[in-house]
Amino acid sequence: MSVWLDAVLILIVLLGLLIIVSHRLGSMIQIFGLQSCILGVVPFFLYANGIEFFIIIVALAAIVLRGFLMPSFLYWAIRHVDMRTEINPTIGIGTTLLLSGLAIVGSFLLASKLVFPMKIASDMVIPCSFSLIIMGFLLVIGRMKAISQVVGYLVLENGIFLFAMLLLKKMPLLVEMGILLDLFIAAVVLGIVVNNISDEFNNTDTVQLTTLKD
Amino acid sequence: MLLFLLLFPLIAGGMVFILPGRGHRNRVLLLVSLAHTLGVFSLWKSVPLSLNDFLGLDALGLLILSVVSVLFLMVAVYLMGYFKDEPDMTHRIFTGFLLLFLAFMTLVTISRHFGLLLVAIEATTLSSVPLINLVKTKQSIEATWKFLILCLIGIALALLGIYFLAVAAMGNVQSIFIDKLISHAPQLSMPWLKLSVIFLLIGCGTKMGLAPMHTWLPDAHSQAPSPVSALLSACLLNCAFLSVLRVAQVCQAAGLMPFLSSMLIVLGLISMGIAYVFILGQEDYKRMFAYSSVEHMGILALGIGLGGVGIYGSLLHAINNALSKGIAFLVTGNIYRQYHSKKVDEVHGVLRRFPATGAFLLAAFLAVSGVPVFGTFISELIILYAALAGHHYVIAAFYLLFLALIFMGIAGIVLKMAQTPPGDQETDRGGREHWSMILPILLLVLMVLLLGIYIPPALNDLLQQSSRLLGGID
Repeated sequence: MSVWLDAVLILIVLLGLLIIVSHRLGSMIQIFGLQSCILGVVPFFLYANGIEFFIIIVALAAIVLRGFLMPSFLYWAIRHVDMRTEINPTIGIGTTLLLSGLAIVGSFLLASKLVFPMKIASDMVIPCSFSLIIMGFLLVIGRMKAISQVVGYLVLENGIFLFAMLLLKKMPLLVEMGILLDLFIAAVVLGIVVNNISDEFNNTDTVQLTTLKD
Repeated sequence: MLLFLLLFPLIAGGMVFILPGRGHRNRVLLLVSLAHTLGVFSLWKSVPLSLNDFLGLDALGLLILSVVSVLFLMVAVYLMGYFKDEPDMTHRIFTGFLLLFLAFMTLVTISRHFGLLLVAIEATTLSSVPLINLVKTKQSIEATWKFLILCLIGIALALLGIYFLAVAAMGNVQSIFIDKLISHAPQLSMPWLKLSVIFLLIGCGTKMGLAPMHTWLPDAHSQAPSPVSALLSACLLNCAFLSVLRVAQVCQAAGLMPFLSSMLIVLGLISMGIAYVFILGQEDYKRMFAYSSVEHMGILALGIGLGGVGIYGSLLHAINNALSKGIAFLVTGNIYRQYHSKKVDEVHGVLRRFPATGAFLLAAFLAVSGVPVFGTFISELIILYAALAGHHYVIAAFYLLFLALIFMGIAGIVLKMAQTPPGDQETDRGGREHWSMILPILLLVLMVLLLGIYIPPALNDLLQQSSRLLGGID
């Protein structure tokens, strides 16, 4: 099983890189949806020997919410505005890609120093989750479109979700809490604000949000 | 009682959404905040108390809860005369979310579980969004967007920190209830705990407005309606400070305090430095006070980082800072109402045209910059003493330097606003000032003056208890 798990994890990180290199907002969202769906499968591999009912629920919830609901919601949001591509990111796409590469290396180095107090099915879960978190962070600070920033935030959350999977059996309450938390945030508030921004500015480019300066 | 404090504003907040009539809603707001304050002070004799594993109140929580409650009451009084011609729906949403905001801040102070604490902090972020974005202009949307995306990232990182904490606790402790973590702290896995502390500090520090994660703060404070800025600055930042204190409690028990202290001192000094840079020549008076919040959050972090009496000083400063920020932002509300501008250059002769507001503006300036007789002076002095007692002379020097520079920076701006003669077309006497916009500020000024000359024994007790929880000496 470990081989399959490793393959899935590598795929998730590669999809993260693919999000970073894509210019079109639409494809970013689609790839994010795909990544989340694959992420939803991880618990099955991780707990292949003892699948319990609530693990299935958590996995399905992740697939439905992150893989389908959120992408379609974001799609709905970009349909309201004309802009479809990310132009002039603050940090260039090439640079972001390079930084992500470094982040992946760094994550593996860091993870090799940390001893997880429990046996995990694969050594790659922790470094992959760290890489996703850093990639999401780079997207948020490197992009200008509100939507790309939201996608970046969601990729970051995917990374945290991946890490949370390790705690699923020991501390289920905590994991469920985390899932509910980001569901609540992402769906309601970001939507409202993105909508507000598009009403007021006609597109969701945060470059225009620069009247407040010192 | 705890449940009452939590549920009463929550239910009232829900009710206000459907309650017709502005007057009714205002009265509900006032009643709830009064009841909340009375409720909180009735608990002063009975800490620590715990309701169940998740909810309980210790001295630290009570301290912050009292500050939140008093400031909220003052703002509620202030709001009686604040809204005149906003649409009914806006008022409905505003009052409703204001009460929810109070409920969630109460939840922050009474959480005894790190997960619940995080959820509560998140809820305060979400419930303050409609408050900041009340008047939908381009600037306020920009401010809200920055506030949201930064606080969300902060919370996400704090969530990761909490997962790390859970990993650290996996061996023996098995849960992340605050009490249990403290009593079993030595058994936590240290590398994971360190990682967790870093992430929690970054996450909560973002919400607290510590530089360099502070960039949302000046925008949100300057764009929100003034009473909301007062609440953000005096209550919300203190709630975030409390979450940092919870982390410090665990570090203290686990013997990781030196690790946390060094980070807090560095962040504190950076915050003070950045605040100075941006206060200097600031054109927007609300932004100026917002940067002063960054400075004072830096002082709080510094005090905790220095340890010893610094902790007592820092907690006292949290109260003083909340009171003086309450004065400052409510005064800016008065000024904005009369001058319709946030620009320093367009505000002249406040002292001549609006004597009460002008006097309060000067009081706000003196209180914020910690001039003797005001409470802030005492607490800043205690923190300085802590630095000297610990032989941290370089830190003390930087601390004094920044305090002096910021004092001069704010003085230049405020004195210009207060004393330049009114322009030609401006009448000598401005419009009348509503009582509700004077009384709460007056009370706050009296409180901060009182704390400057006399600390009530009950408060002193509470401060000492809280400081002991963090390993400070009295």
